[in-house]
Amino acid sequence: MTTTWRELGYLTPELVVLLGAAAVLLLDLFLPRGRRRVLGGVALVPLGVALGWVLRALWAQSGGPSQLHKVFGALLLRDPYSLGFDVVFLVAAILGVLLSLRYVEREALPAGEYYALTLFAVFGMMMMAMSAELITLFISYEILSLAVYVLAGIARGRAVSAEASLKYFLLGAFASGFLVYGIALVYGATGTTVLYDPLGQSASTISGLILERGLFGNALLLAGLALLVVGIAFKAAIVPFHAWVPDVYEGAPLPVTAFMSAGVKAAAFAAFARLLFGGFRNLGEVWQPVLWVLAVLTMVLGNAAAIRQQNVKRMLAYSSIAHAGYLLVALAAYTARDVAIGSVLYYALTYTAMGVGAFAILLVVGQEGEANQELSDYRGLASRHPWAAAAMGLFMISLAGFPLTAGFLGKFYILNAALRADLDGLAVVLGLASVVSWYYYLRVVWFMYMTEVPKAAVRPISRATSLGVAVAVAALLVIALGVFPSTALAVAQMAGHTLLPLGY
Amino acid sequence: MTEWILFVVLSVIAIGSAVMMLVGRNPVHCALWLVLTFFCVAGFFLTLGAPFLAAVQIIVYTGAIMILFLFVVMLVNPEREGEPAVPASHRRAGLTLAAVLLVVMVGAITTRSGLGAIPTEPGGVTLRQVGTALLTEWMLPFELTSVLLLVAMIGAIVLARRRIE
Repeated sequence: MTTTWRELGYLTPELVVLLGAAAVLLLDLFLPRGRRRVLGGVALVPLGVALGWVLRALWAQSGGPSQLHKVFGALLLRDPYSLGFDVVFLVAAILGVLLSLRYVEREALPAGEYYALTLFAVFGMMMMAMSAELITLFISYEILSLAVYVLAGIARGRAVSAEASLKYFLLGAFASGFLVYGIALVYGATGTTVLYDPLGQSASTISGLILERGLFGNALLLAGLALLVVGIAFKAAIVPFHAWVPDVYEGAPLPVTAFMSAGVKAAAFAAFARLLFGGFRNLGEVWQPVLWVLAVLTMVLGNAAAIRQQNVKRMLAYSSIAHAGYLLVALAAYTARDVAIGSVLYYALTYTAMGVGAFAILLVVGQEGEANQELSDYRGLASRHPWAAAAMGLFMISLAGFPLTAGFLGKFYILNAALRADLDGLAVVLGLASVVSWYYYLRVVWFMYMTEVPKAAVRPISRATSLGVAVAVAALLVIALGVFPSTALAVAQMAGHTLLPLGY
Repeated sequence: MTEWILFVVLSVIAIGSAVMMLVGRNPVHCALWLVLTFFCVAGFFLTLGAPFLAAVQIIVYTGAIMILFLFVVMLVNPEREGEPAVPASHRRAGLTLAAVLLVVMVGAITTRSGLGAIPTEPGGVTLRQVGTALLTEWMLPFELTSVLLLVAMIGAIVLARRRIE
């Protein structure tokens, strides 16, 4: 088996990001201490180049037949599905770096390592979305995890940050253990770790062997699948594997939280869909009820906990659990998989825009050392800083899923998939959960627009250009995805179809 | 015949040193007994025609993990006299668990259930085969692991460094 340069060419965006990480690390050595702020700008270059490459590749395929390439044997798949998720990761990372530019300087974080680890994390995510083989998937998962554990604890001066990192690391190590154990059991049952072959050339894949040998009730295989689901559900912050989320999201530096809540979750779902719809598609009757239960638990508990929060950062952390539940509904709709996978991708992109946007406003309003994140700090924001309040209002109503916003359409497509898969109960729970979420999202809007504070208590906001750009980009994305969804949706659907078996 | 003799000798040493580890009073001695057990396990792998696994067993377990063990033991420096007596109920629970585990393992080995799908290489796997597989079919995970180690190294430095000047 030889890997040609042509094959490596399919990995261009991944390699660009990886080289970018190395470049940032090396540059850090040669820059005088005062000039390290440029490192953030340097980190944006590979992310931008990779995003351009990915968008061009997607654009080239949006009209004609989608292209699917196996890279390194069958270990990786360069398909529109992975390209679509790459867009999500890269947008999350670009916004995350924009949020970090000022923050890293203000909090005196080690800039070189910070941006290098961010790029490594993105590299891990992109590899995860491409992996069609369990060992490759596991190593990519670990690259992502290790980078994010460290990022969560990089503000070592603050005790909560160190606590967040340690908790995340210890629980994450358990989750990795589950994943490896699952891989071992699946290998024991099938004798292969390759998930599936979308081109139908090889039958010795997990998906092929399940059919060929009739392994539908094989205890070893089912136990392995269960452990794999646990390992990935942990990263995706799905109830009951979510206990780490509030503390880690609250303790980690804000830009890291923003990046994690969007990027890591999207990466987990990218791997989840590839695993379930690709490798274990023939066991759908087995895993669908499990996802059904997990989705209900995640939506109900995420929303119920978010209602009680007075701290906006913590509220967003819990609400991100609820959003993972909405995404799970789409995965559970596996009998309508021709629309389900596309709706996951579309929702992941919209959540990235509105979620990271909301975190960006937290940075605008927040002060040094992560102060000013209580709900009461948003009193009268509209009269003092109308633009910041307007942007926050937009992100909130989009997260709540009001019509004409990206968040509404994202939920609409997920509901559509759920109804077509005859999951009426799940669709009802999703609707009710959204209504509940209106309360805590709109409460922020109410505080901003309907309350006033005495002049003396007014605190200044952060006016860094990079933050302004990040908020503007996120807001534009939310509006664009909400008002002109057709292009993004068409691409998402096309990307989703590449996960389906031939001739479906 | 030689294989049989080797097996018996290695088993006796492995089980013997495992027991010594359990009954030992000095934690450093216990750790060293465990090292001996690991060496014997590596010997089993050699007799089974898996030299790569034998090498990994020694490098990873005796090399990396036991050194870490010894570091911790020496840093903590437990008081030899003041250790609390283990209550009888804990002993009984531990023995029961061990017995259950023994039954499960013997059962699994004698019935060989569920493991038929794993392809086996007659005559064992040579180092050359492992190397060839790692650098051809499994080149990508192999290279990705180097990225993983780099990330781990950077992370350890970031978190352990005393102060950001």
